[in-house]
Amino acid sequence: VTVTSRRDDEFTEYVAARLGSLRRVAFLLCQDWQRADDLVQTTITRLYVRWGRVSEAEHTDAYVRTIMVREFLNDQRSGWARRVSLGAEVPDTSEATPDLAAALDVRAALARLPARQRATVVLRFYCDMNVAQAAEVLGCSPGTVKSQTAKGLDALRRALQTTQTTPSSTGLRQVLPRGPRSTRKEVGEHG
Amino acid sequence: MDESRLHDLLELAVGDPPPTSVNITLARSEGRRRLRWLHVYAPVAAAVTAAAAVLVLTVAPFGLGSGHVLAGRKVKHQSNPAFIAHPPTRFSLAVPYASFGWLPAGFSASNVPLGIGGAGVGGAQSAQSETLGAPSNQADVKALSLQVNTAGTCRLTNAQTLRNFRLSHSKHPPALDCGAGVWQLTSSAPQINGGPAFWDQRGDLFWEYGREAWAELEPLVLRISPVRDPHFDGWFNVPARPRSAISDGYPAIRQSAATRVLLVKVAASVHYGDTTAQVYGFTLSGVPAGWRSAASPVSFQAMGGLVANTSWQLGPASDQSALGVSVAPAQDGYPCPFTPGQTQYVTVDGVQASLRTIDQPYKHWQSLCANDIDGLQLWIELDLNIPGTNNTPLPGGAEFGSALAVFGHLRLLGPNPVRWTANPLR
Repeated sequence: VTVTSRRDDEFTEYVAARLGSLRRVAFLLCQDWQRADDLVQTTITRLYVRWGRVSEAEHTDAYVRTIMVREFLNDQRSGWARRVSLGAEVPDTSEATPDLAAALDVRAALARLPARQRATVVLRFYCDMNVAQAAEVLGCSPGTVKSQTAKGLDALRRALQTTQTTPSSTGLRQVLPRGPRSTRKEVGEHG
Repeated sequence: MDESRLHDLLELAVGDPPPTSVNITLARSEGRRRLRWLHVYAPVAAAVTAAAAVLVLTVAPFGLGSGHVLAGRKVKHQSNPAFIAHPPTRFSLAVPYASFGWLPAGFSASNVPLGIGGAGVGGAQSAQSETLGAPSNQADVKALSLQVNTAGTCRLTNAQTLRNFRLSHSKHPPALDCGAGVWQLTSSAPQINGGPAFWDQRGDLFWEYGREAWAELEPLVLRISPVRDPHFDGWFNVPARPRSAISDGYPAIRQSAATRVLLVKVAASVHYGDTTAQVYGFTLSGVPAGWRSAASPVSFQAMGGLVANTSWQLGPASDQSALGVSVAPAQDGYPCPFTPGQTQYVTVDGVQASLRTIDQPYKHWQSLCANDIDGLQLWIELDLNIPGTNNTPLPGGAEFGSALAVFGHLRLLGPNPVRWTANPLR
């Protein structure tokens, strides 16, 4: 077995095992499956280039998520991302269960968040990272993560209030923090 | 707040993923292509450690120099003629902007046949890199990679912490955000020509070589023998600390004091604004009207004292990288790949080559690869239609209807770069 083929085998095995979770995180970031797949493709290509170093690291998953999130944020900064909207369709919610309806509300509200706030929310509440871990991935201070989290959740809550007359937002308001007390708690949280 | 419920809702919001278009094989091949340009094949040389010891006496003392004020995002610089007042916001595709000046014994740009490999010049977000190699079992630096960014590409973040920045005392150290990556800075380095400089987690040296323009010097150690091995796995900056000390997936590296001194001196002597044009190992005729060289990354190598282009692209405005031509010494490249179902062997100039065709909705592409034509490895990559469109033809693409047709317009100039040309278009 050559070095290259061994490297390829290890890389392929790793990516294949995590492809599903990578795509889901990418989707939450991009809000569009085509763009999510593009993001994953770019991420794993960059991962391959650095595989020799990455595969020796103890927290490969964290490293890969870091590549992905930074790639996403970089892409958002480019003019292309601002100009082009792929216009992903939002599923019909008329027959959705309350949970699914609420989830779709979350998705729509998440899509309205600025990229960095969205990334922070996804890292904190989907990837279950603590403040310090999210700060590492985002390349910012824990304080910034806390404020971005607070702003993101606040924006989510406000966005969802606009849909609260629709049946689909039912479950959502029970989930998000309400009022300044919750926000302060989140800001003051230590990872 | 019920965070676990928010997690569940986010999971639900994802829904059922559609079939994926992610292609792991493509990632591997594209990754290998990028690695190809990053790799360095250099002959064995030199005693870097001894040179470094000598150099300890010749460089500036470690630490922030006097008169260096770090306040906010703007950094005041000492008056130094070597500091570039007006660094470029774009790099030329034809002329590498920066090159090594002083190098330790055993490192040489002029007598190392393939001493410089590089990638990426052009747009404001692009960067230029060069690498020199000098494997030595005694030294802890086996290769040096220099990357120079255009003005405005990088910016310091967490700048408020810079005022009192010290490595081990800073809980939230600043970072250098260069678009393509964010580098966590871990300690200050001696000023480079009057500009601020820092070490990062990996032991790389970053410095502001000109106003709002940053460069990086990466010391690399040899991981796998590069001796003409097609499976050479490249140069890596491996952790110098035990695995137990590695955290968060980032191997933190602190170079030895001698190595740091060496790197600072190398950085301080980098030349900027070079004017040596690249030479090309081929000429190409019949280029369609309106096709221009792409403003996308190119690669170059030092060969026989010349800067040789080893990856070149051109195309119409709607697809500026429609055609890619890569010509490099045959022994340096990866063998031509064979993709079942897509690749067929053909014979060109009496030499076997592989012709790969992808003919799918939204992707019509062809490549021709020959491992050794008169001492040169040749890659031709051609978009047969505008990528992402369903069979929209390339403007003026009729002349170059296939990779083989492009080959018919190509004349290879042999392995001696002295006979290469600075003007490949005929």
